[in-house]
Amino acid sequence: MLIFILRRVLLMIPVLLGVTLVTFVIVRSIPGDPVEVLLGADRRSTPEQIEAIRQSYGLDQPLPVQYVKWLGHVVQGDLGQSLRTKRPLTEELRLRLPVTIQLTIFAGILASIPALLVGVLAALKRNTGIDYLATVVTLIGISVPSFLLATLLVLLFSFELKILPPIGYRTFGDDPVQNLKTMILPSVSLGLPLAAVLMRITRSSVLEVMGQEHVRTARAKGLPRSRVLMRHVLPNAGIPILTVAGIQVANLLGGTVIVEQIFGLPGVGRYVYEAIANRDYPVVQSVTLVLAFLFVLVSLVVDVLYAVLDPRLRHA
Amino acid sequence: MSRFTRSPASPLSSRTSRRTALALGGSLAAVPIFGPSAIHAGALQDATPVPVSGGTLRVGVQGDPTELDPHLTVLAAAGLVVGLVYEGLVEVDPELVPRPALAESWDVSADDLTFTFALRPGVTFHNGRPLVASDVVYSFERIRNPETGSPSASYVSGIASMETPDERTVVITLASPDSSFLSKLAFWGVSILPREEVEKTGDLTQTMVGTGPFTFTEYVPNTRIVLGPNAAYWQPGKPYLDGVELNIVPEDTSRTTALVSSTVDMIEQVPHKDIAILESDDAIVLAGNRTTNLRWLTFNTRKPPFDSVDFRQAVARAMDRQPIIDAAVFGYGEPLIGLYPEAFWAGYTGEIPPVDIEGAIALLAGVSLPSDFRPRLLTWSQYGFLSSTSVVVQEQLRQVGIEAEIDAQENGIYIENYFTGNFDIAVMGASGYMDPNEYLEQSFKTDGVNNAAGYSNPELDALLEQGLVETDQAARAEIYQQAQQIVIEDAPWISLYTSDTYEGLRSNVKGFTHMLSGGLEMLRDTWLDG
Repeated sequence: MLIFILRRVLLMIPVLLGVTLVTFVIVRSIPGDPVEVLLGADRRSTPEQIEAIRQSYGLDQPLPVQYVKWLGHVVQGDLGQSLRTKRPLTEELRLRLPVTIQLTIFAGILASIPALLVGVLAALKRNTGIDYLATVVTLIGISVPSFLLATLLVLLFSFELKILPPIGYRTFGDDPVQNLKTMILPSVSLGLPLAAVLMRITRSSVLEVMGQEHVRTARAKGLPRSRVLMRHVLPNAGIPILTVAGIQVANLLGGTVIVEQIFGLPGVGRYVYEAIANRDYPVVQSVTLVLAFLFVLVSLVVDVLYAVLDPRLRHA
Repeated sequence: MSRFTRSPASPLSSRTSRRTALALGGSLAAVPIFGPSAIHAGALQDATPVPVSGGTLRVGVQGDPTELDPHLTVLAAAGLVVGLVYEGLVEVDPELVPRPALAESWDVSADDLTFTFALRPGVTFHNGRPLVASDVVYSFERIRNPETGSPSASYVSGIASMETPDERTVVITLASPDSSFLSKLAFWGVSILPREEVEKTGDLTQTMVGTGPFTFTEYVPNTRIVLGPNAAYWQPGKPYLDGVELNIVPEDTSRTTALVSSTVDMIEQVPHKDIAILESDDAIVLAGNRTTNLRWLTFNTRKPPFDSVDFRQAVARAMDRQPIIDAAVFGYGEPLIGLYPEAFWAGYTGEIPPVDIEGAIALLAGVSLPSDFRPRLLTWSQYGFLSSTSVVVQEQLRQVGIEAEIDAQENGIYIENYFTGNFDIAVMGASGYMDPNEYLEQSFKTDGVNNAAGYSNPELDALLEQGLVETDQAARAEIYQQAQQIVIEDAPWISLYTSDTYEGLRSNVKGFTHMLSGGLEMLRDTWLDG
């Protein structure tokens, strides 16, 4: 097991290196540069003045040099600073990463608990009214995009009922009540589509395992249903569910942009999105690296959990 | 237009300043820039209420400033905050008339080249230090210095020399006469800063130290900017508020919701789609409407058939502005044909001709078009109103037999395409003029910095130069009328409309005045009534 983890950690290095290279190349290939975006389309500056701004940003060095320099800083723990704000990126991430992580965790919990319960229930009560109801609800959940759901929730709970604020995020340390109040609607917006997906996979996975021979054998042995469920069905059904859950939750890390925008949350998704729009290269490169690292970490955790669930994998 | 938002009388510190100012621009002080505009059926403010001190005003703003140094950014979102914390020698009033700010008065030499500004006494920066003449020189030198990389350098690049004969006098000499100079000094990008604060960290991007009514407390990126009151502000008794909290809410629906649910007391940029909802809410008042924005079509006159005046005139005749306004801004706008609206002192006063489909088709018959002609209509996907505009324009072009393709691009790509001439027709918008010379010179003068059309007309160039030298406002207005006439005839651009902008206020917010520039400077006169 230990060797397994160690190997995976070592593999991270070429993966992350590849990510930085691809990110660098792609973002530099997009037309437009930070100075053009800064000036906007309503230009008041002469070409000479524009060149002066470019120089003050340090954008005149050759590209490979810029890449290597940045990489050199990164391995020493210096993620650089934003071109626009000059704020160090470690500071920016310290502000924004917790927001997105909190959002992801809340969405994940809000999604998985009902999804697992309903999914198992739907599988056990297959083709009954409960199953059909669950199917309809999850189809809606999968079809409604998270940003539409977010807007509808804002209109209902903030505009009409006025019981939850649409904006006004504070950190948990600052104001825990406000923090929770401003996190509910965004978490639900992200969680509901996720719950829908998880419910479907839970249901189909449980059904599949229930149809297998070892389950029939266990029932034939006279084991009570609950024991068959807990001891034989769920652990086996767990693996595909875990796969899907892992991917979906990891995706959330970068996919929270629109929800963060709608609710005014200072998260990482929004930060990277705006950095791309502003061509703030150091931000895009460093933050993408951090997100990639987290993604790889999450998948490592998922793989370790597989081994926990499935003893056959423990000595792989 | 000031019917809903009348500020309590705030005396200008010196009447003599208006007299010397008058020497510069004729009837600068008295003539309102924009005439009375449509009055809304919403609740109106009292004419003479008594200001109450105290309370923090929570405002919902649309954009994130990202950096706060006035000399290093031109983002409108930054300008909003800068306008509350910093000041310049001159400011503009809600109707764009320049008036004294940090300069109490000024004299202009007979040759219109030398301005002698007398600084207002008793002004201190937020760090406690009194304002002196060398602060002005320092600030302008910083902007002019190429090493600073300031996008506002052109505003002060016409200055030939500056002197400070004493601590309260600044003498600025221009290289050539410039009737728009005072307007340039009123731009927030050339605000006056204290040198010692800049030198602490190299710039003032993440903190703010000015002379304005509000002081900087904190900036939480993407979230909020918190400002406190300047107890030593030079306007006695102001600001009435204990502070301003600017909450960043880019999403339209969230911003409106924040106002309706009292999460904020005020919002800027009321989404046009929500105006009707807010008007019917008794607890909310709308302030607005005219603002200095423009929306238009740019032709790339470097390539055929867009280099043909007949082609451009044909497109001009096919444009029906009201449906565009209805689609793009829900009807809250005014058609334009010249560059500036008629209510502006330099606005174009000619009529907008009705749509002329037959005339357009007739003109097109004389232009040689490539087979399978599908001009690219470049539009900016970030702005819904521009996308809507492009869709209606495409439909109107179809009526005269031109099948255009909409090419919606993201911010950075749009800008690069626009300025490298990689487009056929561009749907564009901008805002924030203060002097008529600005857009005319930047966009239509040969080699103008904003001349994306690639247009050049020596007759227009000469006219614009004349407009800068002329000091009598009525004479300038006539010059700019002629200039706009030339632009209409040559049609490198087709002006379409200007859209209304509103702020939404809860009914307990008093004393606010909408500014034509869209800024929030009048928050210094605002108070919370309960």
